[in-house]
Amino acid sequence: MIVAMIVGLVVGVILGFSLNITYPSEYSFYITMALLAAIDSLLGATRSYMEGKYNNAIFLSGFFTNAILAALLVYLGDRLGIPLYYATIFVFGGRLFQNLAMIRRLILDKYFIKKE
Amino acid sequence: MKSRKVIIFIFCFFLGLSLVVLTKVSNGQRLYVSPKVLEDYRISIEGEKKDMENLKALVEETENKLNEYIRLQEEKEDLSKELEKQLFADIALYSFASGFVAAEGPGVEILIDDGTRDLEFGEDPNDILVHDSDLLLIINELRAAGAEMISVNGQRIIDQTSISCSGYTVRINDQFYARPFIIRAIGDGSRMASTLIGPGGYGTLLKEYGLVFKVTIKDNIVIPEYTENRNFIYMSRVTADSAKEGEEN
Repeated sequence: MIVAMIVGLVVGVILGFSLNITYPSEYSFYITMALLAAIDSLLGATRSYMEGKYNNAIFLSGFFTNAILAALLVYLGDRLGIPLYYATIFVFGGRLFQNLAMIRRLILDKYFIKKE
Repeated sequence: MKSRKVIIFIFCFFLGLSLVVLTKVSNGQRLYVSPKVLEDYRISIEGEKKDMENLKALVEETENKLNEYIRLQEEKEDLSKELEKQLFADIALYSFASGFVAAEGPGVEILIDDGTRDLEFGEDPNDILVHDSDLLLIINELRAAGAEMISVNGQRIIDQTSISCSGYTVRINDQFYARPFIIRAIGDGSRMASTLIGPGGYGTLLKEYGLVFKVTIKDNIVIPEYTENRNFIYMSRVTADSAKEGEEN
């Protein structure tokens, strides 16, 4: 699973460098938010996999609802003139660190602490 | 187990791909464009388009004129009469616009005079006198409000007119005038009057200082022609090979 993750990332990065793909810059903010949601989902998936609770449906539905809500907040913030996307950045950013902390603990538990 | 790996692989693939694409497109610069900025750009683009249309219409009109002349020449018609008529019309237009012909039309008549109130203790008497700068400001306001022709005490205000202070009198077009000053302007009378005597207008300010300031909207105002000589001593026509200085600014 972790191998699939790393291989997928590497292939994606290589393709991104080799292909010449562009998108209209109006949507850059939405794509950034979607990326944030994706990174958050990925770390969440890693964590739940290590806890042995991983589920495809939860992972995919979580990613799509999060991404849609993030895009909606960005759009609404644009319409209202209020930077609502801060909410997205803070929540996803906070969760990134939270998930990373959990993953770190799991790794420590699994490979280091038990050995002592 | 298999589907998991496939889904995670696809997910990671797209994540890596879009991360790289995003970095390549943005180059580390901020790309976020708000709808307000887009709207501003849209408005300015529309303005430019309108300008372009106007220019195109001008080009078309000039081309039509040129074609007309060519046609007349080809048909060996007597061009001189047509051209003569055109030239006389041009001369009439330019002499009218440059102030060598008297003009009439609706507009406003403004009377400005020194104030008659008592001075307060220690007050500068200049506060209630009409100055050259007052006249200049009023003329500027009138032009901003769409005045087509302006005269001060019968002196036509043209492009070379100067108004300067000379003691108790004011020098306009090299002639000296004392109070009261009567400014006449042809244009949209109510607009010019409201610009001057509305709240914050210059006329209101002068009145608050105690000066006499009266605006009358009139149906027919006659403004006489410019009577001084116009000599160009230093200025000469630009030829095609002259250095184009200041074109960049």
